[in-house]
Amino acid sequence: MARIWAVFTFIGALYCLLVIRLFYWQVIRSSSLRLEAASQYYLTFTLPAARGSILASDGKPLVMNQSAFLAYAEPRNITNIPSFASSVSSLLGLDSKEIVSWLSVPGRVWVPLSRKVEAARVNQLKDLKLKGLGFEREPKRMYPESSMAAHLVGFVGSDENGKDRGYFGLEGYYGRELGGKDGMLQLEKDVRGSPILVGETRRIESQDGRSLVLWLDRTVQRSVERRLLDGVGKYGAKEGSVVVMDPKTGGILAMASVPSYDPGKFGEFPKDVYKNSVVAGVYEPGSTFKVLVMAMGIDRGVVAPTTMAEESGPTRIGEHFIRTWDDKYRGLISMTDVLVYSSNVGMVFVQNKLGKDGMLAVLHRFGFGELTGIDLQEEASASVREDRDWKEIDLATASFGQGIGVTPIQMIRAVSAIANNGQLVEPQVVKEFRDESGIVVPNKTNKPRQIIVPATAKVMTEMMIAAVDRGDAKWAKPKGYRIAGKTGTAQIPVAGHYDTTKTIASFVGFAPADDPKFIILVTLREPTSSPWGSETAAPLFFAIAKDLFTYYGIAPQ
Amino acid sequence: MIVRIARFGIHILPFLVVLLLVVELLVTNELAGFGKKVSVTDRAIDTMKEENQLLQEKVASFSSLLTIEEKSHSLGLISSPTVVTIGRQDVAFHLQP
Repeated sequence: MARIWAVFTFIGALYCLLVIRLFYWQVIRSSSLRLEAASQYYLTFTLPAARGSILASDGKPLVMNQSAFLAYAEPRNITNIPSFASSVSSLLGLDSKEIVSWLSVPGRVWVPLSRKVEAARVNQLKDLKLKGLGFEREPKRMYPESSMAAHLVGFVGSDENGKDRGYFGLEGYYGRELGGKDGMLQLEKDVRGSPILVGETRRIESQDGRSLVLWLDRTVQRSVERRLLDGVGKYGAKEGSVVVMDPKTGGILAMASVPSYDPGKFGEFPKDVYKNSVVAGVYEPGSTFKVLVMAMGIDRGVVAPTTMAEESGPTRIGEHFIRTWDDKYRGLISMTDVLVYSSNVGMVFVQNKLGKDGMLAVLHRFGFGELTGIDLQEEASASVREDRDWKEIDLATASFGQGIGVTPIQMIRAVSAIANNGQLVEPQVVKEFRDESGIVVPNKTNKPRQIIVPATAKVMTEMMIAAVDRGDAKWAKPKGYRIAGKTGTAQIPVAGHYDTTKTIASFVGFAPADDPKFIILVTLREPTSSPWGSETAAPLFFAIAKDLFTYYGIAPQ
Repeated sequence: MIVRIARFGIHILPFLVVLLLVVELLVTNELAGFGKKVSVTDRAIDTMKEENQLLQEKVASFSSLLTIEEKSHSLGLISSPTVVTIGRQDVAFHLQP
């Protein structure tokens, strides 16, 4: 009887073990086993999404996709590796010894040779009819206008997984919109791994990236780039930038910086040229800032264009003396003449009238110390000191644009408020999005902020017209046009002191002054022909303005 | 009567099975052929897409400002000379009292 019980218990125990094991496989491991099984009878392919194009305002592409291929080798199918290497090396631009070393590694069955090889080159390679050489399609960016607007568009490189990724400019900012969403194709496969046509198929279509239609005008951009390059050479500047904006919409019509790079060959350029100095470069604006302080003074009613200021000598602030740029003093001068002669002493007078609150209002209302919101990846904002940290001398120097850091995009946006009846707009590069089926979606609506009253904007416009017509840059102005503008020459701070020999020359202005079609900001870093904005940045501004008058068909007023 | 019908059915059953097998064979064959047609069509679509892409690239290259400028220069066109503008004070009638 005991034996029977022993056998019964043994069988019972075996049964329990079996149940436990089955529970383990069927419940605990079921999901992982299902996945393993699926991997054995399913083939999965990625359906890559095509990256969207970047189009100028006339619909012509600045950036588009091009047919390209990944060239790879299968060492097992290659009979003579050195001969294979010497055949493909010249066409792929590789060293044949390097190819031999890659292909000779034992156990390697698939070796990538070169990425983004253009279709014409692939056809040449195919003509060689080499065994073990294969190609896989992969997209490549094409730049029909070459390096035009390089800083604006950015470039496409690879991420840590070797996948395409946009860097800088629009490629970086709109990475998700341009990149789209990859799809997937899952097919049942037979024992040899071939797909079963009548088997189960699961397909998730890819969604191609949306194309960006910009405010940018190709002709304006081309003209600006050419003028800037000429200007940087002519005036011996180290760097330069120009931005052209529609003051009413905030649309960027052109944006260029020198030195620049070719986005199609970005790897051949030093990394410090990738950043767009218009949105990421901080500089002291110098006298161009005076128009903003003056605008606040008029808006608050503390000064008027005819208000007279005493300019009999340098103004003393504590231990410091504020002088005029030419160390000449004109006695009693009006506020209009303060701008015409770019008087630092006159601006300290306005600053004293405004007080600390008024000066801080200039910074806050005109949007300094904050991002403008432009749709470019690398936008930066110079930090502005805390309100409580402003000392008397800081306020005085800020009134003529020294001791304060701004970006060119912040500066042009601020001055555009004067051109736009006192309304501050958000600069925008992208006008609308276009998807693969042609549906157009406009970019977010610009909601302007009224920062000064329209009457102040009109008065300021007249004062800026006077600054152009009677200021030091009047010789360069095209006759007959009403152009509002202001020159700027700022010394560059080096190790806590200002270098008297190095300046940033700039000019900001808009035209036609009564119904502005464009506003332009020109900055030149360290010009050597002359340190003054009136002799460098101003003539460059007027050269660009003349081009735009002709292009837009604007007659003299 | 029922028995006769049943007998007839039993006699005809093998022929019916063979017929259905042939039909299945034909349908499967047709399906396989259809798959081939699908893949041929897919390849044709890919070729057309490729050609379309190449044409788009050519159109973009030919309509770029760089190409237009090169072509216009080769045709003998030159950039416009310096534009001279005049103000109101320079206009003849404005000078009259």
